[in-house]
Amino acid sequence: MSLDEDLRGALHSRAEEAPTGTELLAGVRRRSSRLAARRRAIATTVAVVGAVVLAAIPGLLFRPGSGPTTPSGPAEVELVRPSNVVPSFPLTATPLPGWVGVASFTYATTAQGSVEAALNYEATYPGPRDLSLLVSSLQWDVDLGNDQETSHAATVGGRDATVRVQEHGTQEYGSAVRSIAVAWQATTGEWVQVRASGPVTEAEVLQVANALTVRPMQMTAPFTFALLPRDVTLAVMNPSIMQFRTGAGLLAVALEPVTEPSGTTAVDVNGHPAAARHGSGVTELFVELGGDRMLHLTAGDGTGLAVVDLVVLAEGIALEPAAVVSPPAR
Amino acid sequence: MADTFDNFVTARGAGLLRFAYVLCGDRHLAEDLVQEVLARLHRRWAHIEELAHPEAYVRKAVVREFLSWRRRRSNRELVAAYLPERAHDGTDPATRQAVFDELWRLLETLPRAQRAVLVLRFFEDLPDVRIAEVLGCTAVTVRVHASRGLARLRASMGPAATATNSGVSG
Repeated sequence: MSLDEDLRGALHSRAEEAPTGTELLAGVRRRSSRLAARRRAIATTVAVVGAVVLAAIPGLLFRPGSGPTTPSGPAEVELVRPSNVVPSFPLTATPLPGWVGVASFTYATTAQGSVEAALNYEATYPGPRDLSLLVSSLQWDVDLGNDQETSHAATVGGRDATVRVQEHGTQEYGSAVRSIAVAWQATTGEWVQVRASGPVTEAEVLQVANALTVRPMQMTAPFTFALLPRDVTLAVMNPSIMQFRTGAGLLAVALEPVTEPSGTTAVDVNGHPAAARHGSGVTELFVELGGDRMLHLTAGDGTGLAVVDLVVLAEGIALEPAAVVSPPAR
Repeated sequence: MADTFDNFVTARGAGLLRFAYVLCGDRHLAEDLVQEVLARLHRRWAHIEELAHPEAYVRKAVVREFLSWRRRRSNRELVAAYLPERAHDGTDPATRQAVFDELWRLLETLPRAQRAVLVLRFFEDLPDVRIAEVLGCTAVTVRVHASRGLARLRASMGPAATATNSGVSG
């Protein structure tokens, strides 16, 4: 049997062991009542708590633009105007097929120093398609995620390449739906892969692969920052999240749907309602932006960043057009 | 509103718990996860029940809660022993169950996003485009999570355990 079939069997087999839910409704009602009571309590005390916190955190008086460097409270992390923290994407594709749509960048590094960057295009006509250009310092796993694949050799710009094709059947209007990956090692030593799925042909994918040139272009980021810790390096980026390495820890900024975190203290960030908490080795700040959007800052204790620092950082964050609300994918 | 919410929980609660259980792998955490989500959605139920697919909305909330859950026990790194006797053709029930058990254990070692993608693909049978909608990411990201999750399972199961697979890597 294939891994896919075994996995499907394992999940359905184990699902039989799930709780039956006989007490579920009673439990939901108890918890719902507690949430309502907590909301009422927060509503009546938020003004008092907010005033106390405002008085206790001098960093809240800071506004971006008052100076290139600012003292940042008891943690003594130096916050500075950052130079460009977003690296360039090493490739440019010209010309691209007419069906490609909105593009977004993703970027990921590992503590061991490997780097993966991707430029993702998505389009919905004719039929859902997407196209990704991926570059990595490590050789890509070109497995398309399913056992039913075929592969063969090809050339891209005179370089040996591997093409893998996975068929998914046809759509109602008769177009074949498949996933295709073309992978090769560029002259720069980096591993490049062009992936596409939907009603696409191998010729279309190879056309994109052969159109790639080694010409850097600036990746678009979801956020810009007036201030950041001096030593930050970008670790992860996608349209919803930017994560930085700083000190001995990680600082993450994410745009998420609004949630109601527990155990928080109310604060104010440039007039936006916000809440902060510290525990389990991380300090967090939740800033409501309206429209069911929330800015969520998370700093590990190794960063040396305290609540006051996160408030200052948050006050200097601007959302860019590339920003998309998404649940955390930790 | 109370009646329709109660009816929904009564009718669909068991299914939600099954889904939450295969997501998080723990009975008590599954109950906690579903209760937390339903309690938060309770006061907005009048809006949710007007959606075309209220249960899909609730399942999406369960996945997102699972992904953001701090109370969930942390993933454990697990060094799996090779299991040379696990190669099977699907006809021996005992061997098949042993493979299921091993896969279930290995699922606990995956990052939450990878596990969620595999559950949505192989338990819910959702196509990648729908999984991307549930997770709020791109289909490309879904495929990356799925590919890495499957690769990790293959590697942990050992070459003999997946001897009948035709999967490729690298």
